[in-house]
Amino acid sequence: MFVSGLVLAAVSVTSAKWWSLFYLYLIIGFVASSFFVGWILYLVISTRPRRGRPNTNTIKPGVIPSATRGKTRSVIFLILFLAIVFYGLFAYSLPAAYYMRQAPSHTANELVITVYAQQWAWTFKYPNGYNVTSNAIHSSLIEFPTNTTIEFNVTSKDVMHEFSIPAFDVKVDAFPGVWTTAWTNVNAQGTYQVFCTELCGAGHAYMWTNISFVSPSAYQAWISGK
Amino acid sequence: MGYGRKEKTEFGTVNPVKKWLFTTNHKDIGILYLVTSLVVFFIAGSLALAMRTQLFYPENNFLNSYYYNQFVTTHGLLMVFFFISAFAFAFANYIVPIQIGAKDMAFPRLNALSYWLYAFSAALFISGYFFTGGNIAGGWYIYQPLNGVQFSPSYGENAAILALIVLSSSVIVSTANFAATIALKRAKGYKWLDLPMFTISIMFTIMMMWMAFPVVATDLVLLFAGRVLGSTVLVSSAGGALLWQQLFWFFGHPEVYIVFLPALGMMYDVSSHFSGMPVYTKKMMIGAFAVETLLSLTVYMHHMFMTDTNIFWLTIANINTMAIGIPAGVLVLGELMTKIDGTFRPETPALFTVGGVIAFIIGGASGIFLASIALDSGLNGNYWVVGHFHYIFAGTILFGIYSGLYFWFPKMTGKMYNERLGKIHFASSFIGLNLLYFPMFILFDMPRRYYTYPSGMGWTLPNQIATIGAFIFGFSQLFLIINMAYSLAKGPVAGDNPWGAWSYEWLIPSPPPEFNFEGTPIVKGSVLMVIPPVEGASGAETHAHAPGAHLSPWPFTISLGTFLALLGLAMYIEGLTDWVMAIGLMVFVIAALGWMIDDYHDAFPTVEKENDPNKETWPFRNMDSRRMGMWVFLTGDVFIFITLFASTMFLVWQGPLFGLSTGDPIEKFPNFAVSAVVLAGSIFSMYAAARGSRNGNRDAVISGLSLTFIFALIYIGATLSDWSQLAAAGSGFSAMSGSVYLSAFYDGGIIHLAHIIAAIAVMLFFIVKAIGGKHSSGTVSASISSLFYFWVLIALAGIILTGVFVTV
Repeated sequence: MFVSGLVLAAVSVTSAKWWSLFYLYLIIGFVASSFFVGWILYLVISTRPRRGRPNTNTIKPGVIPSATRGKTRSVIFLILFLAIVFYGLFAYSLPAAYYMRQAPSHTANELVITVYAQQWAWTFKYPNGYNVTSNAIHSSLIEFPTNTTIEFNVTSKDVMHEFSIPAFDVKVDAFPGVWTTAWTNVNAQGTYQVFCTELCGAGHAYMWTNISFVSPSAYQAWISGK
Repeated sequence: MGYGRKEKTEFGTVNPVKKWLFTTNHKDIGILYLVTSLVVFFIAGSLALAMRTQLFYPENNFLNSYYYNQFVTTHGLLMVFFFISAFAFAFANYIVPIQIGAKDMAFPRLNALSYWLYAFSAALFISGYFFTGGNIAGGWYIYQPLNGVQFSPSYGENAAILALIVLSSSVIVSTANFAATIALKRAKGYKWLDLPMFTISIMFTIMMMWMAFPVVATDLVLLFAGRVLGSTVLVSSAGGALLWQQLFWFFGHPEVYIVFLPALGMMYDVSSHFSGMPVYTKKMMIGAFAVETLLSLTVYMHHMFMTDTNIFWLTIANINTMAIGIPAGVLVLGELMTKIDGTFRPETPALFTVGGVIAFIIGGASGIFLASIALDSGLNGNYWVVGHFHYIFAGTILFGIYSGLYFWFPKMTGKMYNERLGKIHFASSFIGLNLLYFPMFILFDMPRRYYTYPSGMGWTLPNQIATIGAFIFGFSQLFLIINMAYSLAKGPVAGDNPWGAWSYEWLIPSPPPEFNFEGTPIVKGSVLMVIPPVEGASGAETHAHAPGAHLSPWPFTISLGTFLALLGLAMYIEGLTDWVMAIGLMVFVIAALGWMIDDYHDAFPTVEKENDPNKETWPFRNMDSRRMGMWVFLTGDVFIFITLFASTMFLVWQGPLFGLSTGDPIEKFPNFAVSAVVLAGSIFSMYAAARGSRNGNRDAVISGLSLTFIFALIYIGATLSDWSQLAAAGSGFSAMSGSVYLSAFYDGGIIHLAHIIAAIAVMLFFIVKAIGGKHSSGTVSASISSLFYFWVLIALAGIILTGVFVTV
């Protein structure tokens, strides 16, 4: 639900960015849509046939109606209005796109995870070589540290998949033979889901898994035992 | 063909079965399109209801993933390819020729061919369910490599891909036909800007079809070659998956506007009539159509925001997407502004335009979210996308075409529809639409195409509301069918012009007579007129107007042959039987010969004469429809070769896998020099034939065509010799699975050879015609010069394509 954004915005740096943008779009979209829907309802109701108001009909059979009806100025105003709204939103959202797609330059406090998508499970490979494969049916425990920049390098072993963590608004395609990148930095401990959001065959609906975010020290304890 | 001459009977005495199978009349074909597309609509809609039933509960077991994936894929393909466009073109067929003041399409038999190819391709597509492994199940945009044979070995997918290729051919034929009709068959004095908005929208629609469908046809041939011959162009890890996205969405996004524009055109005509006002700033709106058409080709990469494509290009696609939103918004709001100062008559067609505009506002606003690369990180591949495009497709576009359907129903049947049932249909559809699709925005974080979903995610309630909405929306469509059936049987007589509308279709009886106008339509100033015929019309005219004279069995038979041959091919691939394919090929060849024999005797009378002084052809002076149609077809064909060329270059830039391992490049093709010289030489011999035909020189026509024929045979021989030498060196067809280079080479080679063989068949036909002394009539001369242009294209394409493979 949309209210979940109030919670999710605080979960990670990427979802914070995403939700602030989404709420802005939602407000502008709601206001503009209401205005236009209101306008059409007003037009339809105010011009309905009723007593005391002569029916307008300028259309005559066999006569081409005037092509010069209407104010060009109003349409130009409409074009400008749409252009300002569309390009305003575009300009506002573009830095967010670059922010979300390009991981911050390498820092010491960074974890690079290799993600292999396959029919129909996710495999995560940790820097120490530990491999873990999981899906909704055969799930394994997968842990990541909070307050750490995590970079996911994603590829596919077979067909196209899409690596998606809705809670952090992290999403990137997984192509066979190609590497793609996504990143985030999570603040809140908890259990989240990784989904595949590109149809990948019979088991597509089971190609999701839980992942846990724990404190960096708990993560260190977990990963060093592997 | 003797029908007309043998039985100059009254219309009623033509056997109805024969009439509907063999008709070439644009109005009959419009009705056929309408009925067929509605049948497809109910099939595809039932699939959707089955899916919504499955999604009513989390972890439900109504459908398993085997069926769900087939249903989700075929629902999309049926609705996009086989329903919504055909539904709009039912009206384009029926109404556009009348609106421009023509008596039929420029090529009535090709029009029938388009329909029958469409109808049989729908049947072929549906036959996919009955093959081992079921129908196509990899998503309607057929992403690679999932839909390659390795991951989707189902035999039904072969039939489905073949069906889509046939459908694309049908659309390509339609494009040339509509272009020639609208450009050359308008009533004298009818200016472009004065045409009704529906005709104008169809004009821009065919411009997009012209560029998009040759591309998707090529894509699908490449896909099929991958599945059957083992070509690896689209499935290699050297960029195949991304190449498919480029190729598919280059078609896929214009396709959205291909279905959107006709619906918008109908809404304009309806709005204008039901508020009694002319279109608001018509010139600006036509300009918006033009801008929309141009930009439609530049935005497709917004389907690829989550790929590894460089973000610079994605930003460009994003800017273009914002740009195309402006004319789209202007067009829909302009439709709304048309109502200003008028009197809104709240009848069914008008209500559907209001519903369509409201759906567009919601669908458009949700689309603005998707146009943001950043927001796509949360929305792409989720139900938000499904909600967005269904608001446009099932809301705006379907409602737009419904408004046209109710508007023209009295014209097409002569009966008035039932207003109360129409209003019930509107109200229940509108409520169902919003209940069905609005919850999908709440499900913005639920991945689409999951056949089942876990509970505890907060997804259950919105899914249940959507399912209830789906049943309301689905069953409310029965009101339409009941209304049509009831009104057809018991509706009051509508009269010629129940709406007091202005354009040509309303000035003639309902339903219109066989050839629309009893006389000659002429536009004087702003008045549409029909000049009564002169006494004692010529014999040819009478013959053309004789009932049954415009029946032709060949469009139906050719399509039947195509259907059987391709169904047989799919069965042969599965190892079932090969005689179905043999029968299909036989039927196809007999029908093609039959068509040619008809043409040899000039047996098929066209209603619309060439170079008629009573036609407005500006800006195409001295253009006849064959030349026009051929130009459109040819320039479309250029896109086929551009697609092949561009795919090859894309793979060259993407992948290290390109190139043969050993040998000097030129040694791979020992006969390349021969091929190039022969192709270059054949251009000149073909030119001699075209020139001879123009000057009435029979010997030049025969010798020029024969020489070209011999050159073509030498070229085929040289090519096959190259291929066999490659095969002997271990680089034959079977080596395609290991080499992207060879795959691209053979794919291009096969498509090119198919062009050469088609050209040879036409060449032989004209050689026979010239020997029979029919080498210099206007139409033959136009045809031979078109053949010349066609030949130049394939000769150059052959030289360039082979040259690429020799040098890379």
